[in-house]
Amino acid sequence: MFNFFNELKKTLKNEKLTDKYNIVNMSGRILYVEGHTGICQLSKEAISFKFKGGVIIVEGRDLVLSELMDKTLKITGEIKKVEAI
Amino acid sequence: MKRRNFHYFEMKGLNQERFFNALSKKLEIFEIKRYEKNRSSFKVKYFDGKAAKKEILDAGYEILSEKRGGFFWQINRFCTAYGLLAGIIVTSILLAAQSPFIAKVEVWGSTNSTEICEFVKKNLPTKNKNRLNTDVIEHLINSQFENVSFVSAAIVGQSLVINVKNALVPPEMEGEFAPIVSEYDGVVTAVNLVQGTLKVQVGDIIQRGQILVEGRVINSEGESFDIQPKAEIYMDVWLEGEATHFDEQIVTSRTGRKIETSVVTLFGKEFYSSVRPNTFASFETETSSQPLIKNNILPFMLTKTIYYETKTQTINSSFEQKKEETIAAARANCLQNLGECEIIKEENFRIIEGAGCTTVKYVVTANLLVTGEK
Repeated sequence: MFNFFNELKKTLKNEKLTDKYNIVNMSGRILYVEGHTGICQLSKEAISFKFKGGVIIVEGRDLVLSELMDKTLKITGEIKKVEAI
Repeated sequence: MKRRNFHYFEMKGLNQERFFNALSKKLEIFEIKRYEKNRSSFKVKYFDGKAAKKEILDAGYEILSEKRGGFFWQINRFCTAYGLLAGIIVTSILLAAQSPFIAKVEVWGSTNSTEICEFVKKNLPTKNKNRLNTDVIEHLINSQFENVSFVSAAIVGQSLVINVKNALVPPEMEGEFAPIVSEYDGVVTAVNLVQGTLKVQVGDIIQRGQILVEGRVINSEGESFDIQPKAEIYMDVWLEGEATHFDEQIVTSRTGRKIETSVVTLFGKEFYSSVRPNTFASFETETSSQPLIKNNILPFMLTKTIYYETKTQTINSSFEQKKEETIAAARANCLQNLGECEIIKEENFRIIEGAGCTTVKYVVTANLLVTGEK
């Protein structure tokens, strides 16, 4: 099955660095994440979740964790900042 | 994407992130909202509601509220909320539709209730209880069953209740009215008539089969009617028995030796046999046949034949030697015809000598009570 992320990764030389997580931010309203390993913090202003080797913090307003599955999640709301640490 | 069918939970508790991480590995979770530090809500698929609830409670969280939504929820709610109402309405309609009809026939108070019940069911003019005339039913039963003296039919709810009383026959009129007949030859010694017409007198000599009391009487108006004959008639009866002694007697007896053969057959054809040659000069045989296996699929039959060796002896004895034995045998034969606790008045015997044989005829005179009751 066609996977946009896989096709994109094929264009890069070092694929090992690109298999940790994928994030898609749609107009600052929807944030789709693949490859998370669990959420760390959940509030209207900030949602943070872990991935292999770090944590990603999503900040904004009226944030809602719209979908949470084993490897993927979807955040909706007014997304202002996505930071990986 | 908005979930059409969902189960919504609002819960209270600490460290909810860990719970969501654990739950997300088992179920799909949607629209997780955190209102306060210890209060949040989320949705799962409609059919995952029970599992999610169990997980919440097992994790020690408090469920503040629960909601369900979607098509399945509407159906479920409809069935729960309106099912009972629909059941009542449907039942009421059915009840109203069938209430004008007779549903059951009950017959009380008669020994042949089942027979009457079947007759009424078969001959019911109509099942509509508004049109049914109970007088017709009563008349039908009265005319059909002779032993019925009283009938009352009534409609109770959807049941046709029939109360029947059997005709009472006076005890003296009840029975088969068979005459009292003597079973012995003898002389009438005393008579005590209870009811019926006496056909003998004291001193009459009676033969076996002769009528003693007849079950028919004529009343003062000259009408004749049947009645069960009852009487106590004492008779001196003569009972005979005999035994014959032969001076020369040929007796055949088994020696105790035997030969057994077995044959197994299937559908009449011999399947297996164990046959030993019969070497006896004289013998008797006994044959028995039985199924070898108790089923109808393979009807094996086992037939056993046993040959018993016999020997024949000629026994010579004079009557004088066997006199007491022969008389006792003749007496025993005679007493076989006598009932228990009968009074024996006289006993005698005659000895009749023939060519090579002697016959003892034993006669017992006994006083019997004949009542006609068995």
